[in-house]
Formats: sequence, structure tokens, C-alpha cells
Amino acid sequence: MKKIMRGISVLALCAAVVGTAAGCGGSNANNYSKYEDGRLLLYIWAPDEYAGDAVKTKFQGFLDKFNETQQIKDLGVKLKFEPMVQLPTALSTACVSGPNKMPDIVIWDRFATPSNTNFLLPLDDKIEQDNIETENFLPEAYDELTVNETQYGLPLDADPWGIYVNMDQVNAFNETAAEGEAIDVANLNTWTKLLDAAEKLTVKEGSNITRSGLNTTSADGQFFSFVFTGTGELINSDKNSPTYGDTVMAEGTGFMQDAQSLRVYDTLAFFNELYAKKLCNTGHGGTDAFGNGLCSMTYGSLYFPQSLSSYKLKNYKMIPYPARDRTYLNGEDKPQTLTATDTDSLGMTNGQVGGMLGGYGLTIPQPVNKAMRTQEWQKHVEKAWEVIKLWLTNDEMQALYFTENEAITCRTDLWEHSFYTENTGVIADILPYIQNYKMRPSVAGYETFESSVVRSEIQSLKEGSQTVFKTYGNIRSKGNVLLRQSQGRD
Amino acid sequence: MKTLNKLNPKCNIKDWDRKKRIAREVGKQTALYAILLFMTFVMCLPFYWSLVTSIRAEEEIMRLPVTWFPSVFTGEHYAKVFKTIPFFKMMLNSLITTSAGVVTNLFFGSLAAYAFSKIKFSGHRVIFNILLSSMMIPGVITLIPTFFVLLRFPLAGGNNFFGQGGIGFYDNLAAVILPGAVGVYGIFFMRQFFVSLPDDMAESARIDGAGEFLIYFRIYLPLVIPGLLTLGIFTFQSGWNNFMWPNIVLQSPENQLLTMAFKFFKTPAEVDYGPLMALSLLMALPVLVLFVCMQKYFVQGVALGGIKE
Amino acid sequence: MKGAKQLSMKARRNIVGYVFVFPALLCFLIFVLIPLILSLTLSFYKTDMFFTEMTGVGFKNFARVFRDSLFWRAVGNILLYTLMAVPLNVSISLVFAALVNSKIRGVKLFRVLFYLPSVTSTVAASIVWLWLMNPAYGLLNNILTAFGLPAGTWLTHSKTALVSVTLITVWQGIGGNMIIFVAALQNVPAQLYEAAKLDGAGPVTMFFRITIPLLAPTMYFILTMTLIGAFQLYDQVYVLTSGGPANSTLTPVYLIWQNSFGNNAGAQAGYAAAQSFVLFVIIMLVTVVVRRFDRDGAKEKA
Repeated sequence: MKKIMRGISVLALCAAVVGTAAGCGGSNANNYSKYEDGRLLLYIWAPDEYAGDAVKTKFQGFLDKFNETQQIKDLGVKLKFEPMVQLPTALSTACVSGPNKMPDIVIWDRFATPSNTNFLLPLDDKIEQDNIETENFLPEAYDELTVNETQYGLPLDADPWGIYVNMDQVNAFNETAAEGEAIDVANLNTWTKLLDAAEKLTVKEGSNITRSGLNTTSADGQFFSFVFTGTGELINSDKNSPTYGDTVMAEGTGFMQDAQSLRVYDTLAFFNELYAKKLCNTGHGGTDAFGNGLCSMTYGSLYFPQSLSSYKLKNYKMIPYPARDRTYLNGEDKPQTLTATDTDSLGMTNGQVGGMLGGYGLTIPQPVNKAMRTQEWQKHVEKAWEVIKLWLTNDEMQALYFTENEAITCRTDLWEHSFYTENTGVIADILPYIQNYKMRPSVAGYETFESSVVRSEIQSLKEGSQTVFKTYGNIRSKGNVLLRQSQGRD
Repeated sequence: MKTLNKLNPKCNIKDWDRKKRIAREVGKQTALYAILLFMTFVMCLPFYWSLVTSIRAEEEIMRLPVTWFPSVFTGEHYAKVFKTIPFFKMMLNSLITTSAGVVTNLFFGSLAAYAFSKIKFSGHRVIFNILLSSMMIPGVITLIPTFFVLLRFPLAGGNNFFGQGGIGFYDNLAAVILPGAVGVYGIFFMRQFFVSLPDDMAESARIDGAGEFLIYFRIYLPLVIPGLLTLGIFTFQSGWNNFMWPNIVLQSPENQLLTMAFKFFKTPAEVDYGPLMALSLLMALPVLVLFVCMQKYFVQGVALGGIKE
Repeated sequence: MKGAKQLSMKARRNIVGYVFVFPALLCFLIFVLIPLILSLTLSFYKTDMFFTEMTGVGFKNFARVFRDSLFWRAVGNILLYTLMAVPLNVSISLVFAALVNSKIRGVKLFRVLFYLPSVTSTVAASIVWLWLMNPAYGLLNNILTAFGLPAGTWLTHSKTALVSVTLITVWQGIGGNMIIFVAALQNVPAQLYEAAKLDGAGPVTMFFRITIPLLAPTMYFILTMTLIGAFQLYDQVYVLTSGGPANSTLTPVYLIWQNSFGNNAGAQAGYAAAQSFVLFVIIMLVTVVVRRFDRDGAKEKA
């Protein structure tokens, strides 16, 4: 017992000492500006996508070269980069606490801009003052960083999502296929062709799917891309409610008379058909399934190859999402295929290939409390802005960025750069279609609408627990309530 | 299996009845062992599987059919853990926050528990009941305000007396230690022990003129050591588990805890199971060691306390 | 004279008592009471987590909680979870306790082995289970299919996800409760069993007639603590499912956290505070009901 007592006292002493040390650690909060080699250190935060091995290495490689350029040296700064887990949370708490713990530049998921404007510095004055040629940026990407006519950042990259196809498996299929049955990946441009290819590539042993033709496990996240390829929109043009119009929702008779609703409905019905065909094993949703050849087609962003680099599969192609050519107006089980020149009963023609465009922007965070926006912080902001300007508007630097990271730049005037014209990878696959790509609407509450309404309703559709019609109705009614509430109209 | 062999009775039986009885007894024991072994299998399977995954080659992790034993052993996943995150710094942070929590909870918790059960000052019943009912308050209620309390903590992290000017305890281990420094559960738990001890030891010591702190520290505390150890393990466990709150208040990688480390291997794009399994085993190790060392006192501690209402 | 001395002794006792509980009360005041009051105030405002713009909205936040289908979905989930997890946890840990309390060789080792899941952190354990439950490469499905059983959907289907989470939390939770039960069992006088044995009672009868009634106070304690813990389910959901699929594992605490500090917190802090108070009331109601129920049950048995 005595021994234990002594042990406890020692432990207590240690903890007390350590605790005090930890307490003191926080008090030296005044070394805000740090220098390395006589250059001011500027911190860049990036979302957790950058924490992945391949992405991190590539970006660090770019940063090392960027740091060594004369221009950066002339600015007297050095850039340091930290991928942050749960970036918006970390950034918001940091911006509440003040400049000491804040980064100077943030690689920002553009899509999350509307709900986080409190801690992003408006850049309009700086853009105007320095005559930034904003028309060079891809307009949709630029606008995604605009909230209430205030500009919160400049776009860094364009990240189109598409379908990845295992070409080894397609070629193997084509070798044995009967005439006219071969899969033409270069022309896999309609929903019907995609469905057909997926069926052909699926391998079953009895009822067990040993190879999935098309990954439908996470298709809910791809819904938006498919909506876009049907030239539909999920949010009203007044940005207040999901889907267009105020069509009376009565099953059976004359519902959804307007075209936009039809497109969303058709997309859901198409998904329903995909699910019903059972083309995917539940276990074949991950990167590993595609990389190991268990799944022939899957969805991914432009950076998917970086995650794929550690797998055996090397022969793959990226294609844009195919265009809508099916309508289900006559009933979910009676899809009607439209040819390119056909129009459906509402006079709408086919959709177009394309999909959803994601991507990041460069932003400067600001302390939430005005009193904390000190002179010294202003100095950091000036430097950070100079870095952003150099990074994005200097052609040479921008080229350094996109070649090192294998990214598509938002500077449309640089798409003629030899990196793009001589590219043989997925960038070459997808760049010709990039003008067709669309952004998700930048509306407050849209992220919640997407994550807790749309995805969850599509999951229920996939599980067969509700009809297409019910799914459509739920997305619409629940989405309405949610958007109203998050925009404070309720 | 070895234990089973030991159980075989020495066959030295004279009458049938006895033989039958022993046979029944052996059968019963065998059945009991079978059940226990099966349960061990179920309870320990995840440990086995994470161990196997953490030491098998990357390409073997995702290969079908699944095999029970790795064909090639590798340390690459452990190496990756140490390379990707400041593992030892995080481990140290976890140890600091956790053991500080243990010490403060044991000391202040038992001090308060002693006061509630042995000093019986006026109002002790009311205060104790208020504390007790606060256990029902879900932690999330105070999430945002607690953040601000810590951020505006007077005289901390460059703050002035009014809590302005600095960052308080933000991004400081103290932000994790302080809110849980004296848990109500600990007070409640330790009170059970003091209640079961007689009051007259204190009375006679008081008559002898001993100070109250000495009575607590010299007379009563040594008698509740098993309880302290048990509470220590419980507190250690909950501190080691701490996840939601550190995620909010600790921001720099060098200030983060081990529980937050897994995010570095589980990004939206991919889940890297090899390092993740290595990490979870490394995370479990200290607590495992602690528990195995202390397990003798552990059950004894709970038993002596005898939770009575 | 005597009275005055007693009074001074009482005063001294009060002073010492309050000095002893002072650290505990201080901690309670700073980290429970003050935040609680702040949070209550917050719930009547529309504001973000920075308090940059605060607009008083009266009871609007609370009104919104009652119309928020997502919140009630989460409450429904947590009630269902509690209904599954708490009885499972308590009953299995009791059975385990009874087994490892038997006097056979090596029982201490089993005690340690069964307690192991409880000493690993929830985050680490969840990660391991995520891997075990992987639909393709997971060990569980491979065991199932090896026995010719259909593979499970585990965390990927809205009908099985919450059950899977329950399995994991029960696996992890039984160790701690088992230890408390073992301790209580060791306090049950052995003579009681011997007497019952002489009366010809079997082990099962003894378990239900002697063990369970004598364990009532422990049971009461464990039940309350497990219940309160169950309502705060968060870590596992964060790691395993993020509330999905189809919101089937969304819990109130996860939702409130999302509204307070999550990726799309926006101007939701006031609303999140209102949600957390409604959750508090629900927990209180459930605890009171279960306590009453439990107490009545205990009375009946006695």
C-alpha cells in the first residue's frame, strides 16, 4: 500500500509539473510573425484531401519549387503548408481566437463559401486596385467564390468529375464480343450506352456479383452530375427552393409539367433502373475495388489517379458523364429512349455530356473580431495577397502549379499550354468537355440539402424502400423546408 | 488447451458414484471452458484482425479470398504511421492530458467526496444532489460556451484580466484538461467508498485535535486506495478516449491527441487500413499495459466500493 | 457556553467542508453552470458561433426544433439505439460477470480478456470494426460466406447500420459493466447460495432468485449510467457512418455538433443550443421514466 501511495504521489507531482508547463506553453502567444532564412513564414492550410500521401507529396513538390523562385524570394516570404483535418471547423475556431493561430492563405473548397463568409476576407478592393484580369478565370469557378456580390477568393483549379473505365476489362470483353456488341468507350456518351456497357461488364456467379460493371454504391454523390447531364438544375433560379416551378404534385395525372422537374425526375428514375439491374456488389465501392479490377467503372474526380497510383491497374480512361437520352414519363418501368434529334413529350431534346465541376480557390482568412485585425496582421495579408496574385496571375507560376499537381487551371487562357496539348492522361480525356461542366449552386444551406436530404433520399430509393415519385417529392418538400430554415426565412 | 489437460482428474477412482460425479463435474467445466473460449474468440477477434492487417503486406490486405494468417510480415504500416504523424508527440499529449485528468480527478474528487460523506457541512446534501443530477446534462449543450470560456480565460494565453487580447487556452492542452478536471462521476464514485467507512475514526481524530486535511489524507485516503485505482483506470480510459472536444480546441498537429490521428489515414478519397490498424493497436497499448498491471486492484476496488444506490 | 462552542465547531466544519468541495464546485461553476446559462441565452438568439451578429428571436429556435424532421429522425434513432443497446449491454455484461465469477482455473485471464475491448479508445475500436465490416474484404462477411450464409450489408444499408453500430458499442461497453457486476457478485454472501443448494435449487434458479435481486442497486446504477451514455452516442457515428446511410445513424449529438462546429455550421449556433436543450429534456424524461420503472420493478421483486 505504501508503495502505491508513493507511486501516486510521484505521478501527481509529475502531472502537476507537466500541467503547469502546458499552461505556460500558451502564454508565449506573441511570436506571431516567424521567420526562416530571413523570410517571413506564411502558412497555407488545405483540406484533408491534401492529407493523402500522393496528393500531399505532389503539392509539397510544387511548393518547394515555388519557394525557390526569385519572385517569392523578392517578396521576402516562405510558404509552409499544412493539410487540416476538418478544415472549416479548425479555421473558424482559429479565426475566433485571432491572428496568432490563423493561417495566412487557405486552399478553400469553393463549394463551402456561402456558409462561411464570416471569416473570409473580401478581396474586391484588392482585385480592383491591382487590375486583376478576372475574365481570364473560368466564370463558373470565379462565381462560386462570390456571395452577395462580394468576392471571397480566386479560383485555383477546375476539378471535373467523371466516370473511370477499366480499359483492360473493356478490351478483354471486346475481343470476345460478337459483332456490334463491342463497347466503344470513346462514344459512351448516353445514359443508355452506359447502362448497356455496365451490364456487359458485370460478371456474376449465380446471384453473386464477382465483378461490378458500374459502381452504384456511392452513386448518390454522383446524382448532381447526372442531373446536369440531363440539363437539369436542382435549385430554383431564385435560389430558394429545390427544382423549378410549382407544379402540383399529384401522382398519376399530369404531374411535373415543367421541364426542369422532369429532368430531376428522369435522373432519379434512371438511378432506379441502375439499382434494379443489380450491377454492383456492395463491397465494390472503394478505390481499391476499381484499382484491383473488381469494379469496371467507377466515379472520380480529376485527382482520382493519384489515389489509384498504388494499385496494379494502369490502363484506364476518364470519360465525362453521358447525356440523358431516356425519359420515364410513361412510367418508371417503361423507359423511352430518345435519339439525338428526338424531343420528348415536353419538347425537350437530349441532354449533353458533362457533369459536376468541383475545385478549390485561394482565400485569405480574417479574424472575426474586428479589434484583432492588427497592423501586423494587415502586413501578413498584404504579403499573402501578393503570393496569391503571383501564384494565379503569373503565367509561369500558374504553369508550375498545374504541371506539378497535374491539375486543370481555371485560367482558361492557359488551356493552350503545352502541358494540356501534349497530355496523354485523364486531362486529355476530359479537357475537351470542360465547357459543358457545371457548378453546384452556391446557396446557403445547399450543403446540408445535399448531404442530409438528397443523398439520404437516394439511399432510400436504392434500398427499394420508396418509389421514384416519393423520392422526388421528398427531395422537393424536405429541401424546401431546409433551405428556408437555413436561409433564415423561417 | 493446456489448462484443460491439467483439469483431467487423476484416475484413481474406487466407486462408480464418485466417478460419475467427477465425470459430470468435468463435463460441466469443459462446457464452461468451451463457452469462455468462444466468448474470448468473439471479444478478441477484432484485436487479432487488426494485428494481422497491420503486419501483412499492403497488397495482401485487399486480396480475396481473405486469409487468416499473413504470408509475408512487414513493418511498413507502422513505419508509415511514424512517418506521417508526429506520433510520439501526440502520444505524449494524450498521456499528459490523460494523467493530469487522473490526478486532478482522484485528488479533488476524493477530497470533495470525503467532505460530502464525512464532514457533513450544512447544505452538503443539496449540493451533492445538484452535482449528481448534472450528470444527465449532455455534454453538447455547453459545447460553444465552453469554447468561449476557455478562449476568454482571464490571464491565460496572453489574455488580460478581462479575458481580452490573447487566445486563452485555445490550442493548448489545458483546454482539454481543465473542463474535465473534477468530474462528478469521480465524486459520486469515491463517496461510495467513504460512506462505507465508519465515522468514528474521524471523530476520535478530531477530538485528538488533528486537522481535517490530515484526517482525510492520513486516515481515510489509505483505506480507499483500491477505489482510487479503479477510478483512476476509469478516468484514464475516458481521457484516453477524448475525441470530440480536442477536435474543437486543439488545432496544431503538435498539440493534437492520438485519437485525432486516424484522420490522417482516412481521407474522403481513401481509407488506408494498414496504418490505421497499426495506429489503433499502438493507441490501445498503453491502456492495455496499465490495465494488466493494475487489474488485481481493479476488481477489488470496485468490490470494496460496492455501488449502493 | 457549551452551545457557543458547538456553534463554532459547526462553523468550522462548514468552512472546512466548503474548502474541500471548493475545487469541485469551481470546476462545476466554470465549465458546467456558466456555459449552461450562456447556452440557454444563446438558444433565444439567431447567431453564428462567433456571436458577430446576434438577433433575438424569442422562442423561434425552439419552434423550429419541433418542426425539424431531421432532429426528430435523430431522436428516433437514438431511442431505437438505446432500446437495443442498453438491455443488450446490461444483460450480456451480467452473464459475462456470472461466468467469470466462477471459481475455475484461469478465470482471471478471461476477466482481463473480456475487459480488453473497453480499454481501447472508441475511435480506434470503430476503425477496426469499420474494417471488419467491410462488405468485400471484411472478416465478418468472409466468415459468413464461408459458412454458406449470405453476406451482410452492415454499415452500408439503412436497415442494418444502426444495428451494426449497436453491436460495436455493446462489444466495447460490456467490459466495464462486467467488472462492476463482478465486484457486486463478490459482495453476495456465499452462504446464501449454499443454503439454496441444500434446498435443491439449480444454478439457473439461484441466478434469478438470489443473484439478480441482490444486484438490484448495482443494476440500477449501471442502467442509469449506460442509458445516459447511450444518449450521447457520437464518436462511433463520426468515424463509421457520418450519420448515414439515409440518416439511419444520425444521432442528436452528432447533429448538434454539426450545427455548432461542423462544416456547414453557418449561422446555426443559436439553433444548435436550442436543439441541445430539447435533447436534455428528452434525456431527463427518459431517465426519470426508466428510474421509476426500475424502482417499481425492484419493489415487486422484493
